[in-house]
Amino acid sequence: MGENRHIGILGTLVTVIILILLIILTNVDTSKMSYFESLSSKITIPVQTVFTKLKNKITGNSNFFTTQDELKKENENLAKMNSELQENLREYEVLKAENEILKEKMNLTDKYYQYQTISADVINKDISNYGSNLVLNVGTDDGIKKGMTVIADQGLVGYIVSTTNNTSKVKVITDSASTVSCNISTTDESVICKGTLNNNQELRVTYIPMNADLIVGDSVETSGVGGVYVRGIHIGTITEIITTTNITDRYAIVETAVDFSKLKTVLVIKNN
Amino acid sequence: MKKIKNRRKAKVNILALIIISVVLFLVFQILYFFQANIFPLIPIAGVVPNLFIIFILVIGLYGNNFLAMFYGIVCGIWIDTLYGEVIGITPAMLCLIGFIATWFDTLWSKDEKISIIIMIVLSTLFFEFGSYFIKSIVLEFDLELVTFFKILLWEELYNVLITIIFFSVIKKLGYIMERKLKRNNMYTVEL
Repeated sequence: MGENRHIGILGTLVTVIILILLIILTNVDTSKMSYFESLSSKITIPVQTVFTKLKNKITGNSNFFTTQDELKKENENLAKMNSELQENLREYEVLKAENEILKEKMNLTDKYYQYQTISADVINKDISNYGSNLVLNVGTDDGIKKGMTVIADQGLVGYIVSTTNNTSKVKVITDSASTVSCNISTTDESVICKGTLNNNQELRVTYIPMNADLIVGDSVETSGVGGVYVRGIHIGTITEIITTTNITDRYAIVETAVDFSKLKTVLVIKNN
Repeated sequence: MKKIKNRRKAKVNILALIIISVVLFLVFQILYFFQANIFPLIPIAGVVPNLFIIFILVIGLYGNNFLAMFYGIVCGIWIDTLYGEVIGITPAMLCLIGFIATWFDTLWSKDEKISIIIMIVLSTLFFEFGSYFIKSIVLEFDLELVTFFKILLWEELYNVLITIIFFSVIKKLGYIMERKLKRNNMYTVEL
């Protein structure tokens, strides 16, 4: 009983002391408290500085994140613009290619103005390793007939072997089954140019007259003999002359003027 | 009763044969696309493989000689119509490949990679040399055998490589076709 009374008195005392302290502290002039203030500042400022720096850092990071978001958006916009530009570039490339093809056709037509021609595109090439026929996108509907001569900007390509309404097959001069009657332009000697299996750019010149004087670099053109090809169309140039013990067996190699691997546009001569 | 059963069986057989024929034609179109557009971009020494020989040989080995010869003619006419100067040589040669394939099947096992390779080599040699030789007679041109065999060597190599790469696929699809044909007993169509 006595213990409980003592505890009660102590509690009352503590409460009274706290009250008196509060009354004194709240009623005293603060200027008189400067010493205490500076002391508390000395203790709290370093801690406060650390916290402020930390806060600044966090604020800075949040700015960084904001900037990154902006950059992301900017990057997306740039990527979009880039794809649009690339698309434009592709369109430009397509137009450029079309323009080149049209120019090529115009040049071809100008070059061979003396012939009535039909321009055509190569749409297919032989899938076999032993043939080199071409397929064109023009046929009987366009006035194409079997036997017509086919030329390109650089020279002779071949002749039409068969036609459908919209397509025609061309037997190319480099095909191993092809034979062209030719003239050597410098000497006007008549020779025969045959296609080979060896190379898609080579012809073998055979039946060279015994007294013919061939030189590397001589130009070879069609002679018109046989009635298959028009006379005077450039075929290629002699790159090699192979002499044999028997002079009648000698032959020459002609490199065709037309690059058949890159051939895209041709002209079909109507008035053979 | 037996007559009705036979009629039903014949109907099923013909239907399955039509389905297989359509699928094979689609496969041929895919092969044609690869042959005409993809392989010219990736030649070996300027030479492309001949997928049609492999195609007809596989039909002959896993299917039957009727299908193989029929498809040999169909593929051949298709190729000759598109590219050939003379129509008939390629279908005839591919038809013979179809016939030879069934003969090969009796000689060697089609489950062994090595025997398939031998069959491919022999078929390619037979087809290409036969076609070249006949064309040289029909179109009257001189044979260039040294150059021809040089090209043929690369073609054989390419065909063999393709066969090795796709051996498991060929085998799997081949056996599917074989099972379908045997299940429907299409070796003898009863009418």
